[in-house]
Amino acid sequence: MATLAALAVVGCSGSPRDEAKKALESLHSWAVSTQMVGERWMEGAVPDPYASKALQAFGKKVRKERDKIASGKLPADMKRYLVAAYDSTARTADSLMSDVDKGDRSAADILKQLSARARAADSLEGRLGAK
Amino acid sequence: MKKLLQLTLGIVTSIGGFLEVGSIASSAQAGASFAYQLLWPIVLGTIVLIFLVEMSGRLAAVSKLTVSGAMRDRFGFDYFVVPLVTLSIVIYLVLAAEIGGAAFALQLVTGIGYRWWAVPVALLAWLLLWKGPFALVEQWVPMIGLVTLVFIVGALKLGPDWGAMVHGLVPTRPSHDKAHYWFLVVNILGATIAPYLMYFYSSGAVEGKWDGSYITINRFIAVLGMSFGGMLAAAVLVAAAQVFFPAGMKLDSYDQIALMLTGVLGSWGFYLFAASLFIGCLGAILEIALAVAYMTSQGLGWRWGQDEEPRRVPRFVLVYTALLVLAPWLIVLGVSPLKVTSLSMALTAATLPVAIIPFIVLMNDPVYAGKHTNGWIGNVVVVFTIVMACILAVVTIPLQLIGGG
Repeated sequence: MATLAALAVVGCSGSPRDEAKKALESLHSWAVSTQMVGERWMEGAVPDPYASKALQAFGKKVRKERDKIASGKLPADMKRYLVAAYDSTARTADSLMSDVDKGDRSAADILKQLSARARAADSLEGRLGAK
Repeated sequence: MKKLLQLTLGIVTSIGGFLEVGSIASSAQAGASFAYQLLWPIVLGTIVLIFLVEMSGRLAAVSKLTVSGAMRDRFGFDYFVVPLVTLSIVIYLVLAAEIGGAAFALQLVTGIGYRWWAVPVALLAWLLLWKGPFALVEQWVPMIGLVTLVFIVGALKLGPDWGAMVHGLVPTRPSHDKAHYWFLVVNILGATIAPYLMYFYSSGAVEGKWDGSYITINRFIAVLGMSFGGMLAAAVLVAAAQVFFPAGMKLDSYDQIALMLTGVLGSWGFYLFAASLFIGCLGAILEIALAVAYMTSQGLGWRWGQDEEPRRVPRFVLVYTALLVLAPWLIVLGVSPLKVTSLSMALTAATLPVAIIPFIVLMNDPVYAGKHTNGWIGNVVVVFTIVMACILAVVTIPLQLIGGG
């Protein structure tokens, strides 16, 4: 509900809408990247050191973008939604990294979460674009 | 027979000179963000590069002078110092980007941070230059660079959309992210029309003691070699368009680009990508360091030559040594290799006029080109390139700020 309200607000103005769209695009991209690394690692297509390092780097970048959004000029509801979504993506990357470090290849749930997050960001971004 | 061998080697050489970190990064980013829509700058850049490389070789074969030697001779030191200083600054950034690319390739495989690899990579390059003859740089490193063929295999296995590829050969207006689109166009052109390739190529021709009988073989090397390099860059774009574009991934790090071939080739795709990145960058590091050493020594009238004993060409050796000592530090200090690459490719595009304008004079002067002066097609291409380079020089910095990401 809060998300829809935020969408309604940002949908009226050009610049915050573009900013929100960009933030959602980026969130989608990081969620898909994290998911792809996780999938490839589970398939054995990428080595452990790479997967661990990549997930660490993605988590760092997601947090950096989250901080930028938190200090940006987006409407409060949208900001809250994005910050929470970014936080959650960063935590998922961390948790996947910890699985990689432990060699636990049963991270299917985490990948499902990431997939859902990417889809949510995608759908919100689509609605923003259509406004 | 010797010339036929040289033709083969020339084509192989283009792999090391062409497909380096700039081409890999800009093509991958273009494919991820705009699918096949940015194939045209690769084709345009390759055509321009074919002409310029052919002219550099022809100039060297006829005049026995390298591009920088001829520039200094024709325009005097006061003019020559402008491209020398400008290009050296930009080339320093390009060299740092290549070192960053090679260091990142090692991080991909070992998991040890790229910052730790920057100095060992520069040291390895220096040792190869110090100990190795010109043939090592010209032939053996690029021969190993055949590993980059994996991009063509990967792109074909991913089942490209041939119709969309044909559409991508024609410039079209972007439907979204206009600034980023044009920024990538500038980046691709900067990565493709790299001035150091021309300086390196003409110096190689002089080292190889080319004469008038090499005019035809030079043409074949330029056309086949650079086309082959362009095809590799296009294959990177196609693979990225097939893998990253449908997934909605924007590429902000080499970690993401490394996934490009893993879906279709599994772990082979990962390791061959890392090997391609490493060899492509190492080849470029050697060529860039030598190109600056050649340019400086030839322009300042110092003794030069990669086949000479280092103690006989001390100032030539000092130039590439100093470069390789200074270049890794940007990476050691933690600047993102992908960011350095984007910036250096954009600045390369911005400095193209300085590198290309002398061609129109030199290649029409019988003192330097003999009876092989440019025909009208060659002149049209150079004039077109100069106009394009001037536009790029003006728009590069604003685009870097707006669309550089």
